[in-house]
This record gives sequence, structure tokens and C-alpha cells, in this order.
Amino acid sequence: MIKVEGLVKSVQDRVILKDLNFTLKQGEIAVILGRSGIGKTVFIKTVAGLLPYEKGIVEVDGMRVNPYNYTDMKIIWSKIGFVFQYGALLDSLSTIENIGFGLKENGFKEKEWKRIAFEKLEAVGLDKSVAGLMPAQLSGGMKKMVSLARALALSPNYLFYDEPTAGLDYSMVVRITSLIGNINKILGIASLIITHDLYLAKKFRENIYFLKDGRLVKPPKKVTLEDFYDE
Amino acid sequence: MFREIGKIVLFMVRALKGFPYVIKKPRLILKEVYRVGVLSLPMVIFTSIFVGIVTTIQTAYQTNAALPKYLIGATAFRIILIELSPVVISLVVCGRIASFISAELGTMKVTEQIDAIKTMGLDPHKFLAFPIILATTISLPLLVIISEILATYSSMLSARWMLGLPYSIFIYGMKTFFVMKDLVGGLLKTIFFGFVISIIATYYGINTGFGAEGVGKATTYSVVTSSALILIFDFFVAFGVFT
Repeated sequence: MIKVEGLVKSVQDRVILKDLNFTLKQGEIAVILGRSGIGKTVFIKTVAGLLPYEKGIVEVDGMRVNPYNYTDMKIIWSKIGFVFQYGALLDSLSTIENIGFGLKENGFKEKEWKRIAFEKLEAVGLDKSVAGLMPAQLSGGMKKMVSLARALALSPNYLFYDEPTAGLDYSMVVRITSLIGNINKILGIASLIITHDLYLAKKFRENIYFLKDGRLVKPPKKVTLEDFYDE
Repeated sequence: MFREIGKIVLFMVRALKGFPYVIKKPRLILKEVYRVGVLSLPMVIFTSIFVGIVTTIQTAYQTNAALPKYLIGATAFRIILIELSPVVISLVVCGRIASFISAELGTMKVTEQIDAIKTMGLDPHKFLAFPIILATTISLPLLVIISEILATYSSMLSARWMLGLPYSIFIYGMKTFFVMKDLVGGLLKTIFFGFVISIIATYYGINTGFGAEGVGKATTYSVVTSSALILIFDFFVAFGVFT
């Protein structure tokens, strides 16, 4: 379980997250909506231990998230997969090397990491022909798919998605949304999704939060997401 | 300023902990030795040849026929060993590698590649910074040895062609006034310069701020700080070893 209590986080003297509380149980999907620049990425990166925070408690399976304690973070990061907004693929490595990178550097033999990497490439619906392509040769949507395959390769318990559908055409949005749902259902991986895409949010309506004034607010069931968003 | 120094020291300690990890992966070190050392060779060769030529001309001009001719060889050789090759090559290599290391790591930071590496359980200080630090610390003294050989040869050749000084006289001066301390002192400081350049470059790269502006700033700070540190430490070595 991911537990956040009383989280306070500032960026350049501006308080972004104020006394924020949140929980994500094993197997759940939570969607965080909010305007651009409100602090959604700051929130997800803070929970993932990529950014330090001033006050509060952030725990993953009972372990305290503290970016300065690398020993603990290594254990926490082994449970978290992160799909970055622009993919964050390593420029100098091919698609398949990117997917298998974490496995290879964590001691997997070449035959084994390549087997897993090809398996994950297929799992996200990409053709084997892209395996040898460099990140610069991939489209925005493909980069996100590869980023997802890379996160899945390390068998995480939690998947964090930072704007998984931003900047993609409708067909790609539908494809990624369905993939996120399937990963959650089939593999039972809990997902935390940061987005401002209402199509994606509506698919996982049960657990939607709005980030507003540094806190997470649940929209009332009677109000449509569009109306709540406008407010 | 003291806070920044403290951060750099902590960064250095964290990066050096990468030794046991990186030593098991020699390909990481070899890759960086190639990028830092081998790819700097053309610049080092070009600089060294002209360093040798100019040193000879300046030495001849300064002595102005008032001193025996063999002193041109002695003086040029000692200046090349003690000061010119170690410092000029360190500054030239610093300009090249500090900028590219900081720009590369900075771009990785702003495009979230460093965050991605972290989430895969790898420490970028150990995985990215330490191989660069080790490779630069090894490569710079080797580049300086190559530079010393080339600069001495170009000095000798230019003394022969431009000043009509026979090789035998030049070599006589070199041999007569050679002191091992000059060679060792010159090389030892380049080990230190290599270490400093790479620490500063990786520190500013990994701690880059936001966007393209952040990368630009990191690159500038990296080159300026490491160049200044080379000159400051050169003074301490000159004061401690050669006075």
C-alpha cells in the first residue's frame, strides 16, 4: 500500500502540496486530475521518491520514502515502475536495450534480459521490428509504450504514469487507456495516473481525485467531471 | 559558497562509492576512456605541436644570445614538463570534456533520463558519474605524457629549422638539466586536475536546473569552475613542490 499523510512540498519557495493525504491499495487504480502547473508531476515524483519533501509521511509498503536514503530507496524503486511523460528513454540505447536496461544492469544474463524485453515489447502491442530502433526514430506514442514496457520488465507492484496520453492522437489515447486497464486487471499492478485527459479519467471513474490548492479532492458523484473541472 | 563546496564533497563521496560496482563492469570505464581520452587526442596533438614551437621561439627570444644555446633545449624541455603540457593540455581538455559531460548529463536530467535510471534501482552517481571520474583521472595524465613527447619533439625540430640549433646541442641541454621531480610533479598534478575536472563536470551535470537554460548554466559553471580550480591547484603545486 502507498500511504501519504500530511505531505507538504514546496518548489522555489512556492508551496505546491499542502497537508496532502492519499492512499493507494494493492490492485487499485487512482487518477489524479488537475490544471497544468498545479503540481501533479511534483506529487507523483515526490511519492516515487524522485523529489524531496519538507513535511509529512510518504510510505510504500510500510517503508518510508526518503530520496536521501539510497539503501531504502533501492528497495522501494524495485516495487515501482514509472512511465514518464516523454518516455525518458536513454538516447544511446536501442528500444530493446532500453527495455532490458534495468534487468541487464541488475545482473541478468543477456539471453534472459533479452527474452523478458521482447516479451514486454509484445505485451505493450509493439512489433518486434521496432526492437532495433533508436529512441529518436520512435513516435511520441511509441516512446510511451517502450517506457511502459521498460517499467513492466522489472515486475513492479505499482505503476506510476505521468500524463500517459498527453500529446497523442485519439487512437493512441484509446490504445494506451485500454493497456493501462488490462495491466491493472491481468497483472494486478496498482496504478497511479496523473493526467488532464478526461477520456482516460472517465475510464477509471471509481478512484478520481482533483489536485486543487495543494490538496486532493474527490469530485461528488452527482457532478460530471467536465463541470467539476470547469469549477 | 561553502554550502556549494559541501555539496560537491558529498557528491564526490557518493560517486566514489561506485568503485566496487564499476570495477566489475570494465566496459563502462573503457567507453568513457574512449570518449574522454581517445577523442581528445586530435586536440591534444594540435595543441602540443604549437606549444613546443612557441616555447622554443620564446625561449630563444628571452635568452637573446646572452646565454649558451644549449639552454634553449634545457629551458624549453623543463617548461614543457613542469607547466606547459600539464596546464595547457588540462585546460584544453577541460574545455572539451567539462562542457560535453555537463551538457550530456544535464540533458539527461531535464529529459528525466536520470530519474528513469533511479527508478530502475541504479544510482546515477555511481552508474553515470564514477566511470567518467575514473576515466578522466586515468586519461588526462596519459594525454599529458603524449603532449610532453610531441611538444618536446616539435620544440627540437623548430629549434633546428628556425634557429639553426643542432639536435645534439638541444638534447645535451635537455639531458644536463633534467630533474626527475619536474616530470613527476608535472604528471602528478594532472592526475589531480583530471579528478577535479570530472567531479565538477559530473556534479553540475547531474544537478542541472530546469530546461535548456539549466543545461546552459550547468555547462558554463562546469567549464569556468574547473578551469579556475586547475589554476588555483597549479599554484599550490608550484608553491609546494617547485619552491
